[in-house]
Amino acid sequence: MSQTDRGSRQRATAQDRRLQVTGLSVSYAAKGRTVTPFADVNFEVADGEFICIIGPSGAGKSTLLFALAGLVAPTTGTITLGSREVHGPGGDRAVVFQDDAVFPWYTVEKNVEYAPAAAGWNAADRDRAVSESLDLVGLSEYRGFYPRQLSGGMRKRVDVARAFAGDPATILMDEPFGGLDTMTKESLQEAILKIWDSQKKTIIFVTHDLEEAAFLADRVFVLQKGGGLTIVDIDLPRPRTSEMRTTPELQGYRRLLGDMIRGLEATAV
Amino acid sequence: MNADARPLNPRRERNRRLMLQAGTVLILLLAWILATKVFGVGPLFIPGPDDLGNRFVAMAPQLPSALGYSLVIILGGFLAGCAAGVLVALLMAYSAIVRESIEPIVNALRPMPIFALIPLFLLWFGIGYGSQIGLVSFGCFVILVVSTSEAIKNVPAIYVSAGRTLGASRGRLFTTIVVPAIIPNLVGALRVAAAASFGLDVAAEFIGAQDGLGYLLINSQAYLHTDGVILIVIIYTILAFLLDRLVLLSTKGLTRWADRSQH
Repeated sequence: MSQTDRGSRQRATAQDRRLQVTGLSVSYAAKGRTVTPFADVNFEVADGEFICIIGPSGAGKSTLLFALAGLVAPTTGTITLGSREVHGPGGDRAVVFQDDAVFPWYTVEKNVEYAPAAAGWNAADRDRAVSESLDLVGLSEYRGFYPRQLSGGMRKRVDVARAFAGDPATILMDEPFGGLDTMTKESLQEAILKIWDSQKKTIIFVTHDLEEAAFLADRVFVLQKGGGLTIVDIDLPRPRTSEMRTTPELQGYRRLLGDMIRGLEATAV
Repeated sequence: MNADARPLNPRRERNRRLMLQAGTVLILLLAWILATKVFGVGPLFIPGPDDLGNRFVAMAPQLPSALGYSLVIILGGFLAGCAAGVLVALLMAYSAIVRESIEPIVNALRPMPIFALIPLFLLWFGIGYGSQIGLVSFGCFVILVVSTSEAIKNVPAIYVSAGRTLGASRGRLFTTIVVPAIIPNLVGALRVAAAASFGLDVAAEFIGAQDGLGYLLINSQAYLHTDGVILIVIIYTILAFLLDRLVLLSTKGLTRWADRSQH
């Protein structure tokens, strides 16, 4: 793909990148029973929004995300990205998984280059995408390293860089920082906000950390077990800085989200 | 970066280990000489170092041709068997249809004792190179197919999912994820097959060879030349060691990413 193609694709995307979910439910078999964690979920996400999904355990946060990724098929309802209905996974919806998914047999460079190479970009575009993405996560000096030579936090940065490198419409993240220590986690949260701000991409981010959700999101989707979802607007200024974590406003949102989840858990039982 | 503990003085550490290892070998040599020369254990049970030396000189004229004969069987069988095994394994990795149709056969081969097939190989390929190479290559083939099909099943699903969401086609998933992920297992299977091909060669030459290391082994046994038996065992061991190194060396670049000893 030539440089101009890429440029025009980036410009013409506001409509192409709107995500629309209608009447969605996903059923799957577990321990011989059919489980339907949520039902009749409807929402719309505008291009460039930052959405966090929270909910009690068993509410199907990850299932919802994997449905958006195309890794699991909807049982009812539709998912539309731009004008096209989502069927199966594709390079327009990159996923950052909770577990380490960086390919250990490739160097950092080859990992980040994966989506551009799969999309058939030419060498110059691929190289530029790798440089830009590694720059965003602060790993430019580690191009030639193998994943085993990096710490867990650094590998997560590679994973994030890889997700952005292919210029997807949407980045889906499934508790990406769940297994990391607080320091690493907070620095990655700030890094992701910086990248999001500069790349103007839609991010849908599953988490069980309420402060993380309030800190990152424009809107938080609270999933109900067996039901639909409630949407909470996070009316906090941007850019968000680490000092804002302790403000009464952010902590207020955190309490509100906590109360909602506890309320949902109480009604679900 | 892994912070493996390194000795403060690597050279002294190495010297200490070398001394220990040389000591063990020396003690065993001493015990050997004592047993044969002082305590009078006969050469039929444990031949002395001098018996081995004499036997080596006596056998020397037969060795080049025997070595050549056996190496044709071993290397021919190993290469043919592994090539076929890798090919079938990769087909199984690429296509679920191939995998699912071959799987029951693979599962049936797993517990089958290869040596029990010797009468059939004799029947089908006759006495000589045909049945001998056939036996070695079939043994290697089974090892490769069984361990590769196992390896394919163990490719972590998360890598395949990640590849799919990064836009990879089926062919690209195969070449960039499945194949690299199973390569350490493939190399391991090649090493197992390399070691097994020597045992298979011995069995193959029991099928009635007129030349070869195995043939010399049977002959030595028939004439109660225990020193000859031990000599052949030593030659087999050296050859097996060399082939193992060769496999390791030629696959080194493929497994560098998984090598935990390098930093």
